[in-house]
Amino acid sequence: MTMVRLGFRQTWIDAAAMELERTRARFERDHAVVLPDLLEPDVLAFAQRQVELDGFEERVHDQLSSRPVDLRLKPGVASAVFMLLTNDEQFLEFVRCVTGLRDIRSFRGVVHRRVPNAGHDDAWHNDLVDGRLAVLSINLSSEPYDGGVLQIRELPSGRIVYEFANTRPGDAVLFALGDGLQHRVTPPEGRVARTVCAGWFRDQAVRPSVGLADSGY
Amino acid sequence: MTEVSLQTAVRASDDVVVRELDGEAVLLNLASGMYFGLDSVGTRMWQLIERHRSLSAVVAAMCDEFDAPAATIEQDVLRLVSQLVEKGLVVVAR
Repeated sequence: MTMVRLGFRQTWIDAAAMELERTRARFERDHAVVLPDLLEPDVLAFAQRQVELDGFEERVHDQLSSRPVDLRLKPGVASAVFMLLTNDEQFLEFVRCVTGLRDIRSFRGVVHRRVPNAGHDDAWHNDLVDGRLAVLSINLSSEPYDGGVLQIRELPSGRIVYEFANTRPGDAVLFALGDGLQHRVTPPEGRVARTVCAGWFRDQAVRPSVGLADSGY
Repeated sequence: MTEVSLQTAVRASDDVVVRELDGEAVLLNLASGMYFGLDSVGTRMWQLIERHRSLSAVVAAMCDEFDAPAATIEQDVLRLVSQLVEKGLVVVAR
């Protein structure tokens, strides 16, 4: 199994060439791969604590016609940690290998939360703006949630070709973008909110400004 | 400004997260939420600080690698380390 871990001290990648090839083939076939335990336990615990300290604000997705609403993490330390860890060169190279997207130069994401029964919905979209090449979603929820299933469909058929509920805290899903693909996340159900750091690998470099950490996102 | 000298030894703070982005280090202080960016020379100093801890050893290594007067390198290392101590990114080793 391909092992990738984002830690405070370093990024760990333990993947034999053959296993990396299997992961790459799975991504090509399914348009997605799961990265179990992407966050080391101390990073996950820190992030889960810190997002509550940083706090959330309502976000309206104006670019989608149904204008769905969710909660977005306010700029702060948690966002800054993810900006640094996900832009580690070793990790970016791993993602380039798996996706075959050699143009990837950075990751920019945002922590957001969808609360069950709060009208926090999603709509089919493809994210193909601003040099976005692929998506990573890391589950930061405090416990497993219900609903919140990632779905990918092919166009023009509309056939759903991938579904995955990434309910395990610390696990991540890496998935593809393309003209012939759309994705959405089904509404969360039950009582546990779905909190993720989700964003895009892009073809532009990123470097945070020196000073007080903002999200950079 | 915190006083440091060639006799000082330092280590990275437990609160610092470091990554190199495009070959230049970015340090994040988890306690204060402050970023601190280093240029390529500062990044090399940081790598040597993590390896040697002793500032006299850092200066000696820098003198081996860079074509600059030893006094200039010594001044640059001490100035950078003073800033890193001020910002809580390194602590004086005991």
